[in-house]
Amino acid sequence: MVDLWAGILGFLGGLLSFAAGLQLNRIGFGLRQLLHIWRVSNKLKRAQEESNREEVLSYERLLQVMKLYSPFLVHQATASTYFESINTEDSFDILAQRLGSRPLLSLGMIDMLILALKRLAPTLNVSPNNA
Amino acid sequence: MRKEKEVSGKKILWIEDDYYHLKGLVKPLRDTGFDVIPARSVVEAKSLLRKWQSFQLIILDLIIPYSDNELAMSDSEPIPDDRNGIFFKNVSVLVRNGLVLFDYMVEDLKVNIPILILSIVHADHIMKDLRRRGAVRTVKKEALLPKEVRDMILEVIRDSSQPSKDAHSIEES
Repeated sequence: MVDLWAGILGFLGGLLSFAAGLQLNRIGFGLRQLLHIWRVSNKLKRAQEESNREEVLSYERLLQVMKLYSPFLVHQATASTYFESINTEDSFDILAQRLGSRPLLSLGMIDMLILALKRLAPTLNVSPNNA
Repeated sequence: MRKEKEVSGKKILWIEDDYYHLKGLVKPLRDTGFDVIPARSVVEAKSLLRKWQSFQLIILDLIIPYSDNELAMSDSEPIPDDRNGIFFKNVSVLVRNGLVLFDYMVEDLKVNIPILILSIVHADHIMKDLRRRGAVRTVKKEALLPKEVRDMILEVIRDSSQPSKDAHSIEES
């Protein structure tokens, strides 16, 4: 009987650890995204102060995408409706530009952008504009 | 930055949830002498709008969350009837938040201060409808420089203080 209870508790403990691990991973990912958003927002502020319109536009669009895929800032379910409100093609353009440029990229951003692209793909498929 | 006498202490309610936009664009306005009060959701904006008479200008972003915890209005929240058939139809949940708030200001509060729409949304039929219903300007929030925003706001406030001018007729392309 004791063995049975020990087994059940061990199983539950394992499940709990697994769930906690998943949450920690999600929190870590979210915090990393927030750090990136903070860094890019500072770059945007600097570009605004320097009246560099081209950079302002780039950083604004990059932030739109980053914000959409932050689990802390925007609910994932609203991403598709949000993207229908803005110009989806523009967002793809800017993603492509950023992936091809060096100064902004870091390892964390690359995996975030890949995730964003993966999530964008089904969104585009169901968008009326792309039907 | 030089403070402008004519704007010193004038209050702007800026309804905007993007803190990075607020960060870059608001500071030059404050440096000019404006008192900028940000609201980051419909609920927060409605609370500040109880004293709407104290503001000289309202800037409204259309894509805003409903509250700190809810992105969209709950189903129990009454959505105003569509007026002339297009106002709330065919819009996303988040854009609807901004439109409902605009409707609340114009129809329920009957605010008589300029409302400037500053949003990334660029659906022509929505913008035309907002201007027809009293928005003094609709401006696409994209690649705006702080100086441009400040000059635009100064212009809107100057126009609104001149009763002979029809501020509602100004349209942005």
